[in-house]
Amino acid sequence: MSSAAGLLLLALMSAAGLYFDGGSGQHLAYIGPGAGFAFLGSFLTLLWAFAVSAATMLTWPVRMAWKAAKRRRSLKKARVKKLIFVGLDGYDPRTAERLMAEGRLPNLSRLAKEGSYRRLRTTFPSLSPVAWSTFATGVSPARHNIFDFLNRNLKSYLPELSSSRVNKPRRVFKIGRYHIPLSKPSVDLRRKSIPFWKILGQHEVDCTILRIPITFPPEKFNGRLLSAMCTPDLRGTQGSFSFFSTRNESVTYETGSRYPLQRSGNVVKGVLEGPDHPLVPDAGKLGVPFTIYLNGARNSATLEIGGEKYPLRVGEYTPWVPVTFKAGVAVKARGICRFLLNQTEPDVNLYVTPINIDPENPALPISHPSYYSAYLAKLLGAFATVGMAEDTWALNEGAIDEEAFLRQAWMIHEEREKMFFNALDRLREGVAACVFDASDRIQHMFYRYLEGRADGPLADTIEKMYQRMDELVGRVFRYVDEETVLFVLSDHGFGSFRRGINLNTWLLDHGYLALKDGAETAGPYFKGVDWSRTKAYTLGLAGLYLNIAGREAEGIVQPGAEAEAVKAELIEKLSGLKDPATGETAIQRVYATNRLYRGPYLEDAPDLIVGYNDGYRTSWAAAQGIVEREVFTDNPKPWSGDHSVDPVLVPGVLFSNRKIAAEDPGIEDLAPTALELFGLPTPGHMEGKSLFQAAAPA
Amino acid sequence: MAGYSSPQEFVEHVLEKELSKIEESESDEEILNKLKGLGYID
Repeated sequence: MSSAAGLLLLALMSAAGLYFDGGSGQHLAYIGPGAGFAFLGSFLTLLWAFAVSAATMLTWPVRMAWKAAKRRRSLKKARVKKLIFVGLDGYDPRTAERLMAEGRLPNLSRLAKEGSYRRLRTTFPSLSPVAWSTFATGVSPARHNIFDFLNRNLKSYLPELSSSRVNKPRRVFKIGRYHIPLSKPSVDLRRKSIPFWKILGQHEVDCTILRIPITFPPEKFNGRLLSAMCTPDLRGTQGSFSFFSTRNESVTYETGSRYPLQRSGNVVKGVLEGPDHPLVPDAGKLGVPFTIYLNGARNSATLEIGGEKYPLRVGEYTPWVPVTFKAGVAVKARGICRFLLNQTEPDVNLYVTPINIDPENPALPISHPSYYSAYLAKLLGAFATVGMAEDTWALNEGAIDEEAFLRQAWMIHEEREKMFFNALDRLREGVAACVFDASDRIQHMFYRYLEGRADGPLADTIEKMYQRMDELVGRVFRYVDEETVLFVLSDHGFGSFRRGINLNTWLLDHGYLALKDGAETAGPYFKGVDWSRTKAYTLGLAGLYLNIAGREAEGIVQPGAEAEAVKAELIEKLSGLKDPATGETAIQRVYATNRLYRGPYLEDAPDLIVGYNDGYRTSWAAAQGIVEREVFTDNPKPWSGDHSVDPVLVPGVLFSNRKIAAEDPGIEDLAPTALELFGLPTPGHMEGKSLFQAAAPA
Repeated sequence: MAGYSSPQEFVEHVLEKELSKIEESESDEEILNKLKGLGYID
């Protein structure tokens, strides 16, 4: 069929309102992450929808009465009316304790004095997706299946995002160069087990869950949820910025992309690149043209995009700007981004944040119910939706400076505060929980100041952040009464990242990994690795994997005795490994995961977890499966703090307004505690215990 | 069943394991594009 015929068919479908947003915004196409289009319309579907709607309306009073009765019955044993969780990602006990001792965290100090404060055991490994999944489910990683940010594909040895997978539409109708999806793209959540809020929802306990990591895609439950970490941007990445310049330079970025600006007098033109064309596989990316009108004054300009104009000032972010990517007749995907004019002379430089999925018109589900993100955006304004929205890579790569990064991080934080306080305003009975990420991102990017490796006007950035989070806790106090339990917690602490260790190189040097053709190095994701002679490899942040026969595609280590022997060798050789340049111990301990935890997903876990010492982490190259010449390398990036170390070094914090019984609480204890507070028993599969139950004598 | 939160989760896990054997892999480019921007890796 010709292209013309294909276009005609598209136009007909569009006119029928079946596939595309014809301007109403009601049938948005799924472009971007996992491009595709929903084909749901039919007369029968509409009739069925009408009948269900009518039945829903007619039975509403009965259902409400039934729910109220069920809630009363369920909550007879409840010990509280309200439960509030304030999650401060990466809030470190060492820094918090020092600042409390100096009297600089008055609100947290008050909680510690009148209620409880403990260091909180984190998970193995001490990574946010792992630890917050344990917080949600009350189980260890072997029972929720999140072991790192990355998994390895057992067939290809390539990395995969551990938390979710966007699948393309299963059926596609090809007409000429057009590929028309006949089903929706599906998004699978890979975190298993059951979060406590789902159990509470089954008992009619109202829950609002905001930005807790590893909640994309949002699971259906009886409550409200906004997704967080690992939610993609509109390009389907984890957040890739755009940098525009009139200067013709061959600069490449690892994560962002550099684009040209064409200048003619005071008029500057560029094109913002969006997702892949959803219908024509080889058509490249969709784009939105924009124009900047320089006003003559050096520090200001006007941006015109999508028919709207926005003032630009050097060094100031625009508000969220809606951008619509059109792929033909009424096929569109909507995103939002902020523009930051870096300079106008001699060259015009413009930074654009990753294009976030528009919460008012989400191209993929980012909340439950699906309209919840739109409700928040209408009520409170547009907000960042990408999982890791604070653009750490733009700072790492010099596209923005530290001041600009901080402003961005705090703007995002303010959006989340608004959502959280909106949830607290509405909370009469039930749970409100929110995780704030700025504490983690700011420590990653400014840790060298905290430990005195850098100095300057931003040297106290981390301490100020700790104080600002303390003020946030102080504002939560006004929602806390005698029938409310408040927990303030972090998923892990923080340490320094001065030196990287490439364990792939160490494995090569010690005969556990082999390269093809006598090569001395291998490229990203094991390009050049000879799997037929490789016994072990590392990928991601904390795990070592054996190349097991029958598990990995080209495995050579026999499961059982041989695998246990190789693990024992590696544990012995790597534990206590010294950095020859500094004489410091770089690796404290190496842990066998089959001794750390038990559960049905253990077979997907790394075989070993490496407990790096403070100051060390897996190198940037090793995390990508690169084999380089040196085992130890300096880390020169602004990303100078990390927590991918031995978990015993980086516990989190736990504050509560109530006295807790547990002396050595773990993050797995929070889910059973939430259930117990509402009078529900701990399910048999959960491994945590209520914090209010004293530990059994050893 | 030990460690599963429900019989449904057990059944889903068994099915997923079987399906993964016949699942098509994504292209290298698609996989790496999805990971771009994850702060912890280059």
